[in-house]
Amino acid sequence: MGNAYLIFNIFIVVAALAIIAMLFLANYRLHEPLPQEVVTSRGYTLRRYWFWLVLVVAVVTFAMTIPYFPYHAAGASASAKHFSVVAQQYSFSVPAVVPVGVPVIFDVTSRDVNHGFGIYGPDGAIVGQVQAMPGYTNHLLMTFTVAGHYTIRCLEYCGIAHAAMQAGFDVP
Amino acid sequence: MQSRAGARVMWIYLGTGIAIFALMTLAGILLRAAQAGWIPVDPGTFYSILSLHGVGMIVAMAIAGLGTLWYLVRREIDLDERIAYLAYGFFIAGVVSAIISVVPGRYGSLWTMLYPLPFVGTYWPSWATGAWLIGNALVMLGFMLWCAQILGALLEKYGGVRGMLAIDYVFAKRAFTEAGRKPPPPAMFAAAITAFDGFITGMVGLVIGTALLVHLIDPSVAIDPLWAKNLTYLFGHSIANLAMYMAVAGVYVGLPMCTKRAYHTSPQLAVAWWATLLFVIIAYFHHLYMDFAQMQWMQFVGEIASYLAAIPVVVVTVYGGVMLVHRSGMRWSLGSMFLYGGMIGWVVGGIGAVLDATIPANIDLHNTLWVPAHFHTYLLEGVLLFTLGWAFVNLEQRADAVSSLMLRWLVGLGMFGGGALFVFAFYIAGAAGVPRRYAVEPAPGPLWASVATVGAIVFFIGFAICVFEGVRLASLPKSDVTA
Amino acid sequence: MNRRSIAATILLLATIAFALAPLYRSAVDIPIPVHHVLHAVMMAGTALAGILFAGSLARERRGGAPWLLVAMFAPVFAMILMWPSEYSYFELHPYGHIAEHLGLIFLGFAAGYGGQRYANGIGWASGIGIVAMAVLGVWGYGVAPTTVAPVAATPSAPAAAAAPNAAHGSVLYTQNCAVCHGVAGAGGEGPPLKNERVRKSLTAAEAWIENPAEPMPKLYPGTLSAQDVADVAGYIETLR
Repeated sequence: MGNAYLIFNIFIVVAALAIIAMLFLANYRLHEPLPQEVVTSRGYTLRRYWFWLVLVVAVVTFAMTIPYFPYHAAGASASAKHFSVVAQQYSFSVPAVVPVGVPVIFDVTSRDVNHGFGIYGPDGAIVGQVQAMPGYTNHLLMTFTVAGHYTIRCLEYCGIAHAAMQAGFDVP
Repeated sequence: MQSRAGARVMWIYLGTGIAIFALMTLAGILLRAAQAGWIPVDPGTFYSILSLHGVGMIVAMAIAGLGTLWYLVRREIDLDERIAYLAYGFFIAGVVSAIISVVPGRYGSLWTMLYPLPFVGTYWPSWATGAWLIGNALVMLGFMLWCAQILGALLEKYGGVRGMLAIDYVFAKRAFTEAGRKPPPPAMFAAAITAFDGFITGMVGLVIGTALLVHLIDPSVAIDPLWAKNLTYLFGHSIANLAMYMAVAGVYVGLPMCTKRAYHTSPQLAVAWWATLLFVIIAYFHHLYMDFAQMQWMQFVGEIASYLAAIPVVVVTVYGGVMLVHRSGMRWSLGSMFLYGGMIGWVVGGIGAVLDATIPANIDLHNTLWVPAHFHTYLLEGVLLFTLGWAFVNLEQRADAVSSLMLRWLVGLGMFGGGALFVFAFYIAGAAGVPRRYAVEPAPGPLWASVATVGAIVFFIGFAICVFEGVRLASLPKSDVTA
Repeated sequence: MNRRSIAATILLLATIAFALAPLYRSAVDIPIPVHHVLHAVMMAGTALAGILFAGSLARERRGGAPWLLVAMFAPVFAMILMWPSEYSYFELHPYGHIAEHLGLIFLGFAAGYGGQRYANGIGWASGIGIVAMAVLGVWGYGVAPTTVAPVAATPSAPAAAAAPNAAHGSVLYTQNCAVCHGVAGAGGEGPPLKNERVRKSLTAAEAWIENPAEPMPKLYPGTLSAQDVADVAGYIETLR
């Protein structure tokens, strides 16, 4: 999923609704005061529905996200091409060209400290990332559908030149 | 029981926390201004200041919350304040040690350092690493002293874990109430969960801290980087979350004071805190979503636990807070503004957090500015506001006075308006993919850093006015009207 | 002596006997993670004994704040004592090893007993805590996965026999050095390298690249072979 702006819009809408609702409910000018027992008896009744709504939304959303988990490289197509990525202070060794339209697996590791292998698409948005760890190899399964130049940025603080650690590859 | 010793402990802790917070805010403004390109700061200095800013803020908020909770527990149970002062001594020693490691040590490996940092590629002497680790260990020891004292007191007063968590009250309510027994008040649940989970957090922090210190002295001692990562995040995640849950106690006692309504323990409240006790800790897996080397079940547990951790908040605490305020005729003073505003901030930060805790979204957001976006919302517009709100409710009640309308507007605009601008800039830059912890950010980072710096300065002006107002209220004579 | 004290005494003696194991069995072949588990078992024994002993005290004789410090610091010292080093004196000399074990079980006892003397229930917290801390060490305190094998030549390769290839060095420079030293040595987070030949001869430059001062990363022999080092140094010497 490469749609951080969609996430941002969801955030803005839901946050705005929450802020407006909470301010509305607290405004002393809009509502006549009521004894606490009346407010709580209504409130507790409503809360039962609110609880079930929140719980159902949480569980259903959780279930819906599972197909999009990125952990299936191990069971991925045997024909997927493997590319080795080695991160170190302060550079990445990456392939120069990655094929378009086919699943590829990046085998990512590090020579020294934790780094983050962050892939930014030609439009500047993140399309995938995985941690680069010393002593471990992480497998990132990706299929590139858009041709262009992809930029790699380090996405885990690794030292003084963390912000300068960059690489790139092309998808023809 | 009224407790002057308890109040003294509380104000010392609160004052210290707010003072450290103020200093760390100035450091933060410097950092954002550096990223905006307004002030030239070399990367080494940037990361050193960022290290201090991170640990300083968490410790500041924790100190303030621990002080509030200590006072609230002391009102119910006899506590030896010498232990509170001893813990305080450990906190201060730890903070001093951390400061020394940064100035002049130039330690720059940040507070959630991931082994093999800070041993590789350092630009500071190894004694600075030692000072940093020892500083963290001292803070951890102080925290564990606090947790052990409070836990011991709660266990003794309410009758073991069973009584402290009100298990009989929930499962056999009729027999419980007919026997004339009462469950612990709401604030005691915040204290219990803080002390219990805090104890675990402290233990974990000591394991990773000791391992790192031993490695510093004897580099032949191997450490598994994934193990270290798990422990580091378990510790860091828990202490940051507990800082929030501690401050909630101030809401449980403060909002009833503002609304002149009562807030009692209910079975739902007890169960909500049991859920928090569990989910706060196991949600830490959400920091390792992009570590495919983790066992897969941990990723699943992380996501569902992160979602479920939100339920006690929105169904019990925030809902209960809204019910207290709704149609109560409560007027806005600085105290009530902050307590209620903090709940709004907590919800907004929570929305950002839950989105980031969703694994497919995390692919796009992990280690971008979205991460500091959500926790700055929690801390600045949540925990800090609960802390200040609690302080002001007490000051206002003591002097039987409130702040002028203009002052409330100034502080509100500053802290809510400036604060909103500040965090908004983080969220949008994060959505644009700007990475976090970059001394020099790619576009559009510097543009949003400029907006954030303006917001932060406006926030700080509002905060400064609020602090002066607090000092003014504190200097007023105590009112004769008893609460 | 009531039943609790008797049980606690038996537990204590059994644990001490267990701790004396290095007298009759070498520990050298026991992997570190297993060692952590054995330490955890020992401390569980004495922590439980401590809880039982303190539990058998009359309530009025319970102590106060100082016991809290005992319960808090016992786990800290235990973590340090469990310093897992394969070359440790303790591993090789049975009496040293036993001293370490006796220290650990004393600390386990202190955690359990001290905690209970402070407040009923805290002994369990400290006791379980100290055991859990030892168990937690199993997965990473003293053990680590093997690191990535270096891609380049072994360090015993002779110093570059062929003349430095500056063209190849330029490619390596762009990949590994430009991030801090800038394009063509313009500088950045690292110092500029223009006219570096004035400051360092070729041999000195090679030596520096092979053993730099921090924060410059040490890329030899992991990333760069001896020939690579010569090529990069050769390229840098050409910068003006």
